[in-house]
Amino acid sequence: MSKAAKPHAAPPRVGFIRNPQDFYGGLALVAIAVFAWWAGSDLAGMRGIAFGPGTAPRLFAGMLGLLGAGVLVAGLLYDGSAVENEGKRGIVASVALILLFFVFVNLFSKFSPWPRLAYPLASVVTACCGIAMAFFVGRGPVLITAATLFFAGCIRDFGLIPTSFVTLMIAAGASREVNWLQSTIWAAVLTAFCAFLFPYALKLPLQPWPQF
Amino acid sequence: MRIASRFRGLLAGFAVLAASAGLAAAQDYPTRPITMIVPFAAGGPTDVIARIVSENMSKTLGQTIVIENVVGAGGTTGATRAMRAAPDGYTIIMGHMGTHAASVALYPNLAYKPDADFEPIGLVAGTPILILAKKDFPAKDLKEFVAYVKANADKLNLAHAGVGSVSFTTCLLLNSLLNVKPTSIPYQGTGPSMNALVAGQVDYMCDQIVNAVPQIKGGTIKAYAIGTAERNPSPPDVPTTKEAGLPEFQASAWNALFAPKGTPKPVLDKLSAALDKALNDEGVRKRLLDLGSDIPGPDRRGQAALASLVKSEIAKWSPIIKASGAAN
Amino acid sequence: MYELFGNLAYGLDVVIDLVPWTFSLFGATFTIPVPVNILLCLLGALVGTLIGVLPGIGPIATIAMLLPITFGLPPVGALIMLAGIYYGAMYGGSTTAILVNIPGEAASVVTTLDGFQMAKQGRAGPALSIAAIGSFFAGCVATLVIAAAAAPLTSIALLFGPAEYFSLMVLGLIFAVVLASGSILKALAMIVLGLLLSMVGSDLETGASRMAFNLPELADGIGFVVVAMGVFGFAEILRNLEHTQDRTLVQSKVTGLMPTKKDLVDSTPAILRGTILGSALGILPGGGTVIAAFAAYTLEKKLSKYPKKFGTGVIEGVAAPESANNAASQTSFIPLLTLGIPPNAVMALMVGAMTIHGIVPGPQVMTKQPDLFWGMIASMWIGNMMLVVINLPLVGIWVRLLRVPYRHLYPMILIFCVIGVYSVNNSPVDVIMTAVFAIVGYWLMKHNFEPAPMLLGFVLGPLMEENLRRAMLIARGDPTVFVTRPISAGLLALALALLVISVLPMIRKRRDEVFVE
Repeated sequence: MSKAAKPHAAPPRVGFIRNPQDFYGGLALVAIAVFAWWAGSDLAGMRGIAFGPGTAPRLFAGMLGLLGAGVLVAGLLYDGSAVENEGKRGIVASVALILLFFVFVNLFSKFSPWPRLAYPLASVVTACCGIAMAFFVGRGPVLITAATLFFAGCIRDFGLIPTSFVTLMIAAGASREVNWLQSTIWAAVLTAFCAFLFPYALKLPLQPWPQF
Repeated sequence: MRIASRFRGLLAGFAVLAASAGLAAAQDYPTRPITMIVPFAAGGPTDVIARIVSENMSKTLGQTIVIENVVGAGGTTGATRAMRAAPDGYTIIMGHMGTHAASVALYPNLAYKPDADFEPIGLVAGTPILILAKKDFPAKDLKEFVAYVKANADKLNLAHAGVGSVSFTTCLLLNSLLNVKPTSIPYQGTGPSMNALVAGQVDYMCDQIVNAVPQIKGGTIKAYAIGTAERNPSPPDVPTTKEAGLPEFQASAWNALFAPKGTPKPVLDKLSAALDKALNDEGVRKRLLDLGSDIPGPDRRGQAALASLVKSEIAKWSPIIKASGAAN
Repeated sequence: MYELFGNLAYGLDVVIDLVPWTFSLFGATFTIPVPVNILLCLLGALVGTLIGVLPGIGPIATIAMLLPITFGLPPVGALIMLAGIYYGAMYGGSTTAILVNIPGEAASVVTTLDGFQMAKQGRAGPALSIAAIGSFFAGCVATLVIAAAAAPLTSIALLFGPAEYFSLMVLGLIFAVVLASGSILKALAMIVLGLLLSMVGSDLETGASRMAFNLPELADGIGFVVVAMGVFGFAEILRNLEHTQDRTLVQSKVTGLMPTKKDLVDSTPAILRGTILGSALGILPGGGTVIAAFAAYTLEKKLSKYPKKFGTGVIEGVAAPESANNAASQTSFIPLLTLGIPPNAVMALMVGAMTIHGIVPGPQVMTKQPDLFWGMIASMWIGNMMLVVINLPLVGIWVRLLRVPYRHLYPMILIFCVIGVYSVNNSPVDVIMTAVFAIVGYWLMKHNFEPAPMLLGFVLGPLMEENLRRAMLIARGDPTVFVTRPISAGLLALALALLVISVLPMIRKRRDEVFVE
């Protein structure tokens, strides 16, 4: 998919790994397979001739483990290219952001005066963390993730109009070519369009304004 | 820090605004659209009934009723959302035999208690359950059916629309009455299970009247009995279970309106009255009867009747479901 | 034959039904005949296209949203309008697949493979046009198929039991291997990953919760929209944000809107084959439409003189699945019309719509309400024509949309996607899951894994497992049912043959490489 402009000439080799894309890709698949096997370990397996609920998940987890190992071995045998650092950082930071969101939801639902508002509060704090992270790890993935999480957390309580506007502004920052004046106007136009289209024209059950 | 405290102030402001608005709303309810949660997919039997009734109720109440389909986990996702909603009358739920009775035994980790966490508004309509079999099932009437099933239980295949569905729980009742354990074949919804019955891939099933009537009329399946006290005008020649000799099989997939616990009594009364008016409306009655629905008479309507129905239904289904081992 | 045309003419008559409309102007009263049903069909197709084209809102969501606006209409008009909405939404889903790499539903996943590549090369116009033309042709043929042979075809659909479905799903997964353009090993790994993801949720037979970690939001599994939107749409945004100059290049070289003569010549056989495959597979309830699109793509790739170029923006790779998809979505009405049994979620919604209008669909609709039955069939044809009428002019607008600077385009895609995902179940957790799958999709891209086979595994996985278990239950545990039943055995043999011809060359190639070293 990512046919990066770089030619395949002389990828950096780390010791015995000849195709880091495949090697780490395969490794991750094996990890997913192990995790899935563990997650499904409480399920009953075959009962005599009949399939149990756990049979198919374990079968597929096993297959994924083998295929993942195959991809991993292929990464040791054939040459290929590495994943550039920016991409790696973006992925790690986004995963961290999603985990942070769940931590904040738990914190706010236990230790804040408004447990009902745990979701929106957590999403606001997470979005701030995402913006801060963007200065260190690059904008793209982190800010898109932050915008999505913000929308998820706020849409029920803050209403469509404020939530969409802020989501659009956070998302706009994800591009290197951002022009804040244009983006603000564009976000306002899109918000107005959404506010007209979804709750009004399509009668979707979305509140336009905050509701507590 | 400053931003955080300002934010908190803003929130507090909103809270005060909302509270004062809430007080005023109790008297001249409803002042804004009401959300009716339907815990099943749009287009399903419960959804259709909800849409028919809500259209009339919104005329009476003078506010639109917005249907919000919240699907998942046999309807319990929607019911959980309704239970947690603000008890101001602006969120109500079209509950169902599954969400407000069978769920108690099916889902041991259920987040709500159907009889304690909701305020009943009133019974809306029921969909009678029929005992159905494939076209060439070797039995003329229910008596022969019972005898045949008892004699050949290990050879027969029973279809149902998934664990926890109406066809699943009601067939558990039938099987426990006959004391048989046929092989049950699960399908994803009533459409595929009916398809399998029409194709003759399975032997019998129990299903709601809406899904079965077209097939009965078309002669593609057999209907042995209907699990209600009286015959239904849609398939008039199908006898009741009482007439056909299995009076213990009484089953109807009822739908009823509930509000979250703590909804003010005047609000509940307004909703009950609007529902009552809808159920007396000629247009609504005709559309419900066309679906084969069973519209409750005056003695089964209202808040008290629904409260006792929920209690008795929980008591009826729990032991059967627990005995089958289907709880997850 | 004569009867067929008589019936179709009757249907057209219902659709063209002129209703006198009286109005007064300057004191005088005028009465003009208005073809209400045609207007409803046009309106439905237009609104369906406009809503279906919003990324994140597929046909099911579109119909569910627009259902209430048909309540006030007479039954025949309402159903004709709904059918128009359905075609419009299906086509709208393909439009987003081509323009922004977001499949509206499972069947248009295949369209993204070559359609989006064409758009990136500035050929979104020809891709959209050929999709409209192919769909129109397929729709016309499929309508005739329904009118001529709905009843006999129904009995074929009923021959398909669990064993046959299981074998069909196995065949479908083999298609997923063939359509991958990179390493077969990695494609297989992706299919299995999709299968594994589809296992999350509750077990159909026992109701046991599988790998859901007691989260109520996972109790019914992960939604298709969530995975498709994350892995395709969002991941594409993330990728584009890295390569900004890539995007500007595309905008400067947008070429003609209409397909060239060569495009038409190339895609004609693909459209024909896609139509036949789609009409046949659409009859099968559950998964028929999806498999039709994948099968048509696979067939074209196998027959093509340049199979290697598939996946890089080949017009046949758009024409074949789009025709198959439309033919199949047309013939998927057959079980509904003749048996009254909805074969998929969209048709279940149509049943809901019918019951709301007081029509109980079933085997007797054809005899008792011939105006409805033949009116709907005729409206399918009219609806397809409306689609071409509406969409060929719209192609220009959609393509112009791509010229919006990307820094303004992607926030728009994002906001429609999140609102769309949220409104499917009104669940914030679905939106969070989309963010998770966006990262997964981005990660897959970075490691050269193709997402399409994963999505196909995800869609077909539950169907395969359920039918396998059903077949084994009915056969009381005897696995020979899959080879003793002729249809099932045939499908399995076909799957095996296809696997052998696609894997053999790859093994040979690898061996050569090893020897060279």
